[in-house]
This record gives sequence, C-alpha cells and structure tokens, in this order.
Amino acid sequence: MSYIVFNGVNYSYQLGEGEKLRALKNLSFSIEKGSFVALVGMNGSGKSTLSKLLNGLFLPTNKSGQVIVDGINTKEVDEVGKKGEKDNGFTVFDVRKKVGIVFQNPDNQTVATLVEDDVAFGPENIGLSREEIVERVNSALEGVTMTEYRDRAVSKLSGGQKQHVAIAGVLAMKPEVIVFDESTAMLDPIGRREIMSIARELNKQGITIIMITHNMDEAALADRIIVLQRGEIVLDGTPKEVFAENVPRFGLALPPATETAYKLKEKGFIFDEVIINEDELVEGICKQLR
Amino acid sequence: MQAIKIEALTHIYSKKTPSEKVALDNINLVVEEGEFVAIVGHTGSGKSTLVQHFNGLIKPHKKGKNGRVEIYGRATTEKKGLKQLRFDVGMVFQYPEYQLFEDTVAKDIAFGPKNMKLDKDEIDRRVRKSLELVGLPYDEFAERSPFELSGGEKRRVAIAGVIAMEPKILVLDEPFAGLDPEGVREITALILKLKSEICPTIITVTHDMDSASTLADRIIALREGKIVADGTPKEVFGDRALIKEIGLDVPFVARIVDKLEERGIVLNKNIVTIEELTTELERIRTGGGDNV
Repeated sequence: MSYIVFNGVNYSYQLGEGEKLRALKNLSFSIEKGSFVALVGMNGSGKSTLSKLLNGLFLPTNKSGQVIVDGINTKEVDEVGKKGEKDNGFTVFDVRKKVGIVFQNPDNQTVATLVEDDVAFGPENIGLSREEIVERVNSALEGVTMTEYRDRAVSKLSGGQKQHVAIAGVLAMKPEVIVFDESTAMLDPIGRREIMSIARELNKQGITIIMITHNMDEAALADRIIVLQRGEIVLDGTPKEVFAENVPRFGLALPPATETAYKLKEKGFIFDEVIINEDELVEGICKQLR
Repeated sequence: MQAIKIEALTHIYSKKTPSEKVALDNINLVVEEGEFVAIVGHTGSGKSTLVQHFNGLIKPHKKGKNGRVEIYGRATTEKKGLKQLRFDVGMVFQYPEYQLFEDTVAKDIAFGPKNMKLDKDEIDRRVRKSLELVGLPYDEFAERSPFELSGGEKRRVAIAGVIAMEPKILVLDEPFAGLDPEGVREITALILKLKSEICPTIITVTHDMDSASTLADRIIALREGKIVADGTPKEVFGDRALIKEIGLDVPFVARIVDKLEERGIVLNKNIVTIEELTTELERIRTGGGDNV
C-alpha cells in the first residue's frame, strides 16, 4: 500500500526579483508502507527539499502538484492555529506526527537541557497526558538504548549520542515514517554504524525509513534506492539494479565493494550478479580462485 | 627540515577539578617539511588537542613544565613569534564553511590578511591568488555572497581564507565530512595541489581510514592521549594485531584481505589500495599465486 504519494510536484525557491531556483521538477513517485528507501544524489539535487515536502514543512509550489501522506493532502490541512479553516479535520500537525525528520547536525536539534526533557518536548506540545508522556519517553529512550542517559545533560553527550536523543524525540511522537536527512554525516564510524542499526531495527518494527545519505554502503542496505539529479529522479530500483548502472555520471560514487568488482572484471574475473557489499565480493572472488 | 617538533607534551583539561581529563600524555613527535600526515583515533583520543598546539591555540607552560612545541625551530610560547606562527600554520577546522560570515567571497578571504595588517595591494594579491588556487575564478566569485554557493564551493572559499595567510603547514580537521562524492574528489585534488604548489606539509585529522590510508604517507594513531602507532599506511594498517589492540577500524581493502584469508586465500597484509588488491588477485587467478 502506498503510504506516501508525490503527484507532479514542483518546488521552486524564490531567489530575488523574478528569479527562481527550480529545486524539484514534476516529481511523481510513491513509497510503500514499511519500506526502507535510500535517497541519494549530489548536493543541490533536491534531496533535502524533498524531505521537507514529506511532512508539510514545504508545500508544492505548482497548483497541480500534490503530496499525499497516509491519504492526507498536505496542501489541504489547516495551518497551525487555524483549525477548521479548510474543513477536512486535519492540521499540519497530523502530518508531522506521521512523518518525523532527524537532521544532520547533532548540535541543533535539541531544545532542552536534560535528555528526558528533550524527548518529552514533542509529546508535551501536542497536549498528551502526563502518564502518556512518561510512557512515550520511556519507550523512545529504550528504542535507542539511551535509558541510562535519561537524566544527563544533552550538551555533555557525544555527537552520536545526541543523534540518538534526536531519534528518540522523533520516536516519542509515534511516527509511521522517519526521514534521516544525512543524519550520519557528522558522526564517526562507530556513530554511523549505530544510527544505521537503529534505523534497520525500527524498520523491522514496521516504521517506514527514508535515508538520505552520501554514503553508498549505507544506501546499499536499503530495499530501494532513488537517485535524484537536478530535481528529477534519474534512477529508481533495488541496490543491485541501481549499482548496475553508471552511477558516477550522476556525481555519485559506487560502494567500494562494487567498484572493486568492476576493476576485477576488467582483469578477467566473472561475477554472476552485481556486487553490492563486502561479503558478496569475498564470496564471488572465492568461487573463482578455488 | 623539521616543520614541527614536540617534546614531552602533556595537556590536562580542568586540572584539579572532578572533571580533570588527561588529553595528551607525554607526546614526542617530529614532522619533517614535505610530509603528508594523517592523525587518526577515536573521538576523545586527543587529536584535536594535539593539533591546537600546532598554531599556539593551546600552549604548553612557559617554563616547559608540561613539554615543548616548536614550529620551524621556534617555541610556540615565544610571545614575539605568535603572529608569524599564525601565518605559518593554517588551520582548516571541521565544517569550515560554517565560519564564513562576510557578505562577499573576497571580503571573507581578506579577513585574515587584513587582521595581519598587510597593505591593501598585498591583501588584494593574496585574495586573487587564493581564489585561483582553490579553482574559483576571481571575476566570477569575488563579489558573490558566500551563502549562495554550493557546499563544495563554500568549503573551497573557507580553505582559500586560510591559504591567503600563505601557511607553510596546513592542518585540516575532517576535510571531507559531509561532502558528496563529487565534493570529496574536488577537495582531495585541491589538497594535493596545495601540497605540491604552496604548502609542503599537510596534516589531516580524520576518522576515515580509507582516505587516511590512500592519501597520507604517514599515519599517527592516538589513543587516550598517547601515540600508539606511527608509520606508513602499510606499516600501521599491516599490523592487524596492533590495529585491533588500539581499537581502530581497518580500511576497506584490509577488511577484504582478512575476509579472503578466512576463506583460505592468503594475500599480503600490507595491501591498502583497491589497485593493489585487484592486481594481486589477478596474479593469483592467472596462476602466479602462492595461495594455500
């Protein structure tokens, strides 16, 4: 079932007098509930713009463009404080509750001094009962293995731990979809691996994951990769399908294992399938050398 | 010629408080002019504290109680030499583009030289030359706002601002963080160009073992404020027992070599580049190998 649908979406930034930057051009695609999608492309290809359209932070700038999240058209919800105006019973908060975003910089996503207060910020804002808030904070912290840090100061945590707290803050809103907008980019390798493993675990529990990344090893872990270039989708398929293509022409890299397999092919090695990770590479080499 | 010489350097944060932390513990180190050094280690291993000593952002005690840092033979504690020190050692911090602040690219690059009280013609010459070096044509970029540039361009402007000081030693903290693959290629090429044309000694600080092993000719690993490995990439990453003991990641190529060995295909542990790996595997496949 399609949970998110983009129908002919344009998005343009107003640069100045009559000057526009077309960040997304007539984009149409859908994302299935429970899937794990990687969104890749060069800086400026439109990835972050797309992520902001997913939860109503941005709206399509063309009349006919639509973003539908769980059946709700993000253009037809009431703005904050204007409940009832558009008469369909939804506000932009209903969309934001469904789609949470974890951003890149660990240092500017937290609002409170203590970890548990920070995680409670979202639930408090939507007016939940005290018991419900406590319950949600507990389970969100558990979901990112940060329970023992609950009464610590956020500022004393490492970058990776701050990202855990940011994810917990999103989880406490019980979202259906979590967008990771380059959330691993500023972390060390251990921090990166931890965030990826949390994302996969949440996906197993049924949450739809959209992972925006420049790291092709991370993209290779998704079920589906969407490649953007200058605001348009240029490739869309499984990692094996996408990495079978000449990805570097879109300004991207190949996962190192894929690159190595291509170099070995030039030297006469034969692989039955497109190699996308280290284990497949090792397996493929072993078959031919024994 | 010795570009950097460090003797018995110890640095302790928040000394004599409950949060006291030994960041550097008896560091001895010489970097010769012309070296490309990658300093690696986990978060909190002392990497940043060490490089902040290079341009006197942190100084040892005047009387040498906690060690001595010399740049081109002059101690960083010498008051008179501080201005020259800041010229000689250029620091490009993590995400340097966040530190751009002027309304035009030219003004931003001129900020350092201006602070050094150079005359107007000299400042202008340096702004032009720096932009040229980082590959952004002066006529096209000088009057633009740094904030409307792409990520890779912003980073190059930030590097140009440091280059305008005409440093002899360039220190780059995680120069590739957050860039897309195209940006990584651009900045890699830029660093190599700067090394060959204007700044012979390069020091990078990084978590990324793949870029460290392919770019640098010397790896220095820190753990808990101590130097625990120092050698060529082949020496350091070839010693798997040491790497395991100090808890570092191994580069991609080394991981493949280890996984192949588990499967009975034994390659040289010193292999660090994809090129070497594929050449070695080809040799085995065509019968020249000695695999068990």
